[in-house]
Amino acid sequence: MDPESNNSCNSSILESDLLTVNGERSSQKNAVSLHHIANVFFFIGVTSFGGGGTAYIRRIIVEDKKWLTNEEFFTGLSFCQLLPGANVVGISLYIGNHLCGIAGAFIASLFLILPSSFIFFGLGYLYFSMGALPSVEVMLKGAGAVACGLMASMFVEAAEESLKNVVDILIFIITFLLVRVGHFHVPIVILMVAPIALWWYRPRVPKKKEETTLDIRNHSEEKNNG
Amino acid sequence: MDDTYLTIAKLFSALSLSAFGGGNTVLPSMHMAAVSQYHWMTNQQFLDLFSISKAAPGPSTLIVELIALKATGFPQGSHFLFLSAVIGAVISILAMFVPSSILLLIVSSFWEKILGSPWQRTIEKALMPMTTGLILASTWIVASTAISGWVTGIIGFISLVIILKTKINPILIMLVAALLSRILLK
Repeated sequence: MDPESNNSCNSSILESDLLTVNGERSSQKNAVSLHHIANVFFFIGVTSFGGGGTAYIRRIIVEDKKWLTNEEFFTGLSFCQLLPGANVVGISLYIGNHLCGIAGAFIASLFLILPSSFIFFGLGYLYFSMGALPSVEVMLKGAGAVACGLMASMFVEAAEESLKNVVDILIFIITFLLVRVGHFHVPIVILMVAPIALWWYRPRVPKKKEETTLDIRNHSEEKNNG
Repeated sequence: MDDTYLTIAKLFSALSLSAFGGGNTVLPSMHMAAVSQYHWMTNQQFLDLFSISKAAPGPSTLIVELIALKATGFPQGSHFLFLSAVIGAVISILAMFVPSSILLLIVSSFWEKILGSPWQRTIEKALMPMTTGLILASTWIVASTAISGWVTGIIGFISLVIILKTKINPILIMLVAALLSRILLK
C-alpha cells in the first residue's frame, strides 16, 4: 500500500510521521483513503462465501493490507459479538470507522453489501421464476471445510494474541464452556464474564516493582534504540 | 401490497436488534415469520433460500432480501412485479442492517474517542480472551456441520495449515477444495 497522504482521510492529523516506527500498535491507519476502503470491501463482498466471513475479512485487512493490528481487529470483533446484527457487517463498520470515521464505516458496509445484494436479487429472481436450484451441494462441502479451516486459523491467531497469562486462559475457557456446554446466549455469557474480567484488568496505580527490574535489564537496549 | 412493505420493515428491523451473536441466530424467527405466520413461501422454498444465501457471495444475512423478493415480487397468483420486488428488497436490507449498524457505530465512535486511556486498555485486555472463547465456539459450530467425514476433515485441516503458513488467498483454496470434493464425494 502506497502511503498517499494527500488522499488520506486523516491527512489533517499530523501523526502520520509516527506510523512507520511504532511497532505493534501502529497500523497504517493514516495512509488509507475512502477509495481504498471501497475497493477492498467491494472485493471482500464479491469473493466471500461458504461461511467464515469475519475470518476472511481479518485475513485481508490485518494480514494482507495491514490496516489494523490483530489487537484492534479482535477488539472490534468483540463489539460485534456483544451487540446485535450480522458480524461481517459489524466488523466492516468498525474497520471503516477506525480508518476514516463515519464516512469510512458507511463506505465499507455499503461496498460490502451492495454488490452482493445485486447478485442475491438475480439468484432470487432465477429461483422463483424458474423454480430451479443449481445443484452445488457437493462443491459447497469442500468450500465449507475450507471455511472451517479459515475460522480455525482465526482462532489460532486470536489465541496467540489474547492468551498471555493464566487469568486470560481461565477467562477463555469459562467463556467457551458457558457457550458450548452451558448453551447460554452469547450476550448473556459476555454479561456474566465481562465484569470479572474488567475488574481483574481495572486500571491501577502502576506498581513500580516489575517495571524497575525490566527497566534495568532493558536500559542499554533502549538507549541504543533511542 | 403496502401492508407487505410495512410488515417487512417492522419484521426485519425488530430482528436486526435481536440478532445477538450474529445474523444466524434469528434464522428460526425468519423461518417462522416467512412460512407459518405470513405464508410468503413454503418450507422447502425457505430451505432453498437458505442454501442460496450460503452459496452466494456476500453476507448470508442478505437472505432477508430473498424473503422480501418473494413476498413483494412474487405474491401468490401473480406474475413477477419488478418494481415491487426492488422496493421490497431495498426496504428489507435497510431494515435488517441500519438499526444494528447505528448501535455498532455509537459504540465504535465512543471507542475511538477513548483510545489511549487506561480504561481502553482495561476493556481491550478483558474482552480479548472472551472473544477467543467465542471464536472457538463458533469454529466448533461451523466444524460440526462442515466436517462430515474423512475427506472434509482432511480438507479442513490442510487448509488450516496452508492459511497459517502461507499468504495464499483462502478463496483460491476454496475453489480447489470445491473441485476436489466434487471429484471425491460424487
